Amino acid sequence: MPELTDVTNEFIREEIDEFVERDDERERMITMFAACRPEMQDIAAALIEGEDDVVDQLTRAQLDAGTEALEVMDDGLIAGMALVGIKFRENFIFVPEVLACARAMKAGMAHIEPILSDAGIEPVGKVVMGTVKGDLHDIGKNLCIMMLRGAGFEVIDLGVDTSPDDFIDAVEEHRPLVMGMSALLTTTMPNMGKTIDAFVDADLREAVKIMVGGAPVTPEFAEDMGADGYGKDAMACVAIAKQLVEVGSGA
Amino acid sequence: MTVVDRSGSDLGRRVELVSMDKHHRDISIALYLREDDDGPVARVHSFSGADGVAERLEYLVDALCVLGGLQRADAERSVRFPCRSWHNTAAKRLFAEACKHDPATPLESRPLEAPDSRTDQTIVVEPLGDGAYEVKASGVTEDTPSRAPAIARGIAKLAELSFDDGERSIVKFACGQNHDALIGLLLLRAQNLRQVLREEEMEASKGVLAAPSQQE
Amino acid sequence: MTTTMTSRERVLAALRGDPVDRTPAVNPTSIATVELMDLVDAPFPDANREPELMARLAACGHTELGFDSVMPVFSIIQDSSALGCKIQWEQKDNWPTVKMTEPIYDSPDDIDVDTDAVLDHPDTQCVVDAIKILRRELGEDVAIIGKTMGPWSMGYHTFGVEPFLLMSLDDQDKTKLVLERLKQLTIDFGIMQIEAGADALTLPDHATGDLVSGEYYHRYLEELHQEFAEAIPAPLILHICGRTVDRMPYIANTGMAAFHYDSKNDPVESMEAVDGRIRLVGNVNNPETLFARGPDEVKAEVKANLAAGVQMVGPECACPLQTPLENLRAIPEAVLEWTEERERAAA
Repeated sequence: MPELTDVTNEFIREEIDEFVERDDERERMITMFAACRPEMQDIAAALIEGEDDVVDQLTRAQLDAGTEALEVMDDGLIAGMALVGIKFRENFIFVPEVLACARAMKAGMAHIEPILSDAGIEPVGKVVMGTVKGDLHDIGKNLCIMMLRGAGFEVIDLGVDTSPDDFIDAVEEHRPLVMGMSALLTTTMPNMGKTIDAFVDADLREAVKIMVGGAPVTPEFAEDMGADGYGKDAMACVAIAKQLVEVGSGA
Repeated sequence: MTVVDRSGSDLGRRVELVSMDKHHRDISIALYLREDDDGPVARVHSFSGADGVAERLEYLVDALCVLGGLQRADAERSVRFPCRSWHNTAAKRLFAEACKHDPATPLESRPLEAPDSRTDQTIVVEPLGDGAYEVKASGVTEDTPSRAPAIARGIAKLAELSFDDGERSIVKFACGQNHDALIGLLLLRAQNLRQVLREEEMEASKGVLAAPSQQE
Repeated sequence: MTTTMTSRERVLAALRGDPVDRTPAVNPTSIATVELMDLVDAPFPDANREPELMARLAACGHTELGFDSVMPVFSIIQDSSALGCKIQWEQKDNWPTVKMTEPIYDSPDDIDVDTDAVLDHPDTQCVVDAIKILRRELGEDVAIIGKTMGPWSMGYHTFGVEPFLLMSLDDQDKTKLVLERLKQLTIDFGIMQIEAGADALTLPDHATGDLVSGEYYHRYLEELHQEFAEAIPAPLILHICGRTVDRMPYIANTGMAAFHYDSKNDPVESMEAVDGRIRLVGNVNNPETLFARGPDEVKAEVKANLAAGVQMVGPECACPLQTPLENLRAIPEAVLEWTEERERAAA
């Protein structure tokens, strides 16, 4: 079981120490970063600080040096955003800081996305993702989308404030195996239930597996609403999507 | 200065509002509920003083009676359910339908049978008495399972009826009395519940002022 | 219940923190509804652009619903429209909005406010003329509250929300320059309304806790708001939506008369946070209570504020245009009920 001192980047050690309070999350963050090479931790640290120029430069340097695009994305960018997500959820940082981190993420992904698309990897499955009606937050959704794409899923992004009707339209049009809903406000969480109800009303509930997530969402709430899966954060989202794809495709 | 209450504090509780009536000068029209000696009674009301409003409101009272089987009450522009109880969700739906109805087309109550909008099945709703109705589908094939359960569920949702999702698709009014005209109206709408709910949602989201940071 | 004050006296006394005969029911934000628009034939969007209609609709707040104040600036776009922002005016049952996807500024250097031209713009003049009409028609007994937007909110409108927030993080000096260049409009538009007859002004400046930290308010807006309190010769009611308890101690330092807070903040906690250094106006929930529930639920929220000692009560923000009138009426009714109950208990 890795210790905090096994995380080589001092800035990230301090971030985990100061901002990650839940024991299970601390363990996960430490395990994750301890397994990343120092160069990846440097990228993550720059992302956490919102330094888009540095992320851009370091990403390019790693790719030029022959590092796999997936490693840079998972261990540098996505790992960094995972810590950003925790800080935002706990109100240590606010929207301006998260926007800056998202900008840094985008700077790194600008080099990675072309490589991934050129690789022509057969998608693991298709997922439709959106933030529910009334909710304008997209940080969690965007993190999930990046993770899912990184894991080989084809993802259709419906954006924020997505009505039940828009979710249904998207499922009818794209025929995904999985649909993901995100909510960051307790006041918009009920719209997840309304969306699932709308699928029932439209006689389409069996057409797609539905997973839900977001800071205020709990496993109990997800079950009450009739969701098929619950992911407590962007990282869990990929595992859930993989499970649901296997179930959905009868594998 | 005294407060002059022209805004109808004796109207009762507002059940439903159509904020812009497309058939009459975009006026707002509402259904207000109160109690009289005979039970719940609802009044069709608009605060607009535009020309023709009185005639429009009278038309809507007729529409509620024909389309939904309501009865005129003694009070001005007022109606009640013949069972003398109140079915709030159904009344909201009925009011919305009455306001949507094109005055150029005749007012007629709907039959308890309709072709299904998605398959070749025919949906028939059979009154069982005591406020219960069974939804059946004819023309069911192996490739197209019966649409009766989905339609029954839709009817139940639109009127907040109980729904027995067993072998037979039965919906029931809590009052224990029949409301055939209402069921006929709901049968039509239940076939495209999604459209109905979409419209309701659009109406509900209008008129809410968001802070600049919450606007697109 | 004995009433010894006019509505106007009551509101002004409450804003000063002086004793009142009963807590005023006020509307620092809009209580216009589609039904009131029909009642007085003053529909949106015209009621946002024509002074006669604006005044007629605003007056309903007192004459029909029993509030102690009237507030004619229903939306939040007049100032930005006068600056040149594109406005989507919408129709009767929806709010006009600024098209923030088409920002008019990219940097502080773009800001060159011709104050005379801005204050002469039809949309700002409409407000001034409506206030004059209200004062003439309602006399001296009803409080008239105007509205002037703060520079942070105008920053969102003119730059777009995301670019403005990123700027606030990337470059403090640039952001402060933006606020500096926009602040005079807040002051001048406010003074114009006072001179036309407004008794107080709502000053919305949306540094909400849902977006930015309390420290941000302290860094960017606290001193600026102190400046407004000194420069504008009338009581100011600061309005910020969302979670704001963490910045209420800073807000209490500004010298403004009152802070209008929303339902995400508990009345007791809010009173503790300001510690008597600023009056509070709170905070009946709009979407869940005023719009969707009934008079009893509205009254419960009003009475929770009164029990906490909140000095003025009203909706938390502009109420939805489809809000039932009986729910809005329930706010002043709740004040009367609560006051009578206390008087009976004391007797």
